[in-house]
Amino acid sequence: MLKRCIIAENRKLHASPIWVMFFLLPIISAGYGTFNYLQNLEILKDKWYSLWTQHTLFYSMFFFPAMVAVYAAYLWRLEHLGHNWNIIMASPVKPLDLFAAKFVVVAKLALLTHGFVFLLYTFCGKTFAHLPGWPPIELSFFLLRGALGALAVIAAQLVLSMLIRSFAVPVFLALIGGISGILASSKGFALLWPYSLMQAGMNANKSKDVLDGGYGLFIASCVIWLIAMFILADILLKKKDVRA
Amino acid sequence: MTGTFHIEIQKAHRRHDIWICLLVSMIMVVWVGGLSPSVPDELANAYSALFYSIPVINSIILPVFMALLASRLWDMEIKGNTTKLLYTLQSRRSLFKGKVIFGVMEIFLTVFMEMGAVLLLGKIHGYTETFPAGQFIYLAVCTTAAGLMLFFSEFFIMLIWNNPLPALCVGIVGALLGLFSAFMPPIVSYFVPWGYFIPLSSYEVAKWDQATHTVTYGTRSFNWGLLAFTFALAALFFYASWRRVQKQEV
Repeated sequence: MLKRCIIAENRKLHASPIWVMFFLLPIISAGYGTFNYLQNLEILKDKWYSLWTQHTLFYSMFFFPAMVAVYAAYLWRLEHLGHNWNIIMASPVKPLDLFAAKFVVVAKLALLTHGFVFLLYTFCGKTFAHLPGWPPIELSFFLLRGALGALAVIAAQLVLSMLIRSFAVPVFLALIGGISGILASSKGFALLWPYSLMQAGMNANKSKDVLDGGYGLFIASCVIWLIAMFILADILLKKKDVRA
Repeated sequence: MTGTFHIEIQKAHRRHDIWICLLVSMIMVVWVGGLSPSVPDELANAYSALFYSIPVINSIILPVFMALLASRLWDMEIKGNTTKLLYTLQSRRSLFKGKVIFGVMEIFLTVFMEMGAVLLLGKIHGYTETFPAGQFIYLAVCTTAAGLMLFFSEFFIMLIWNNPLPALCVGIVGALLGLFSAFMPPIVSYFVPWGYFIPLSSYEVAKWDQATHTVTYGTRSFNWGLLAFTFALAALFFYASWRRVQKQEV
């Protein structure tokens, strides 16, 4: 049943306007990052690493949570319209399957975005910054860590969008979440707050690895937040009855 | 006028918009408070640092917040498919007037609370710099002007597409562009309305000591030209929104 739910969720994305966001945000981030890198070559001397910080700094801090929130809110909005909530609650599908299917689809979109960000980063590094060689393997590892941290943000946003029937409020809360993530990281609580995990994983604003020696805790935190959000979603979907 | 506004207040019942307005100023207090100065030198420069930071924070938060306000106002009519019914019960002018007054009041409330937060931060942290009253009023006017302009532009987008998604996407992409324009040559920021908070600001970094990581802030003259242009843009988007409501097929 989960597979059918995933197919249904994927179908909802056909010809959806969120693809504009998918392409636009990483391109703007890459354009600015490359421009800023080229303007500050006397300070930014770590070549591929410096370009990485410029490409992913604002993207991972503020705009990735908001972008994921748009994906999540879009998928839940369709259920909040008309009598669709009654239909999905009355359908012979486990409520958690509905949530899990949306999670899989948003995670797929987020991973594709990550891949696109890395593609743009490599392209800009070679074409405009004329950097030697290819990006260090460590950077693709940062990207993978960022993707792992992003899963917690995705689950949190799906829960918010499920609970709040407005499209815009969860998106705004995601932006606030990103800011709270920066504050939590600055106080050393990056591993305790889901919105900090992606930022820590991406290592977007530090020259040295922020997770050096703390991989176990990072992975544990990601898994715990993910499980917590799934349990919360399951409880809410089971307890929250049909609202006509 | 009281009637249409009263109807919008009734529609906003249990929508908790006031808490969202409060959230904006709370975030500012927490964000700026987290970077609060502690040494005497910094306290003597603290209002300048605060007045320099607020437009940057606004350029990140307010484009998305204004999209939120606009979408909350019109989305209920889209979801309920109520426009056809409403236009038979009341004039288009009265519906539009109610929405605009309610939205503008929310913007005033947000700016009022944000300015209140500035005073609160100064008291809590014991800033020793003389309170710049003129700069304070100018900042409030600029924040209101840019807020109104963004609100009406997002409202216009809502009316065109009848869907909150484009308005929110424009808000997010605009916030990103606005933030980036702050770090580009000054002329670039004039072409990015979402980031107008920054070129309108009258504070700038006068000196940054790389060795000691200390920043000295200076002031520049008020940007009356851009402020007038911002109000003009707000008026243009207001008029475009009104024309859209007038001509809208239901």
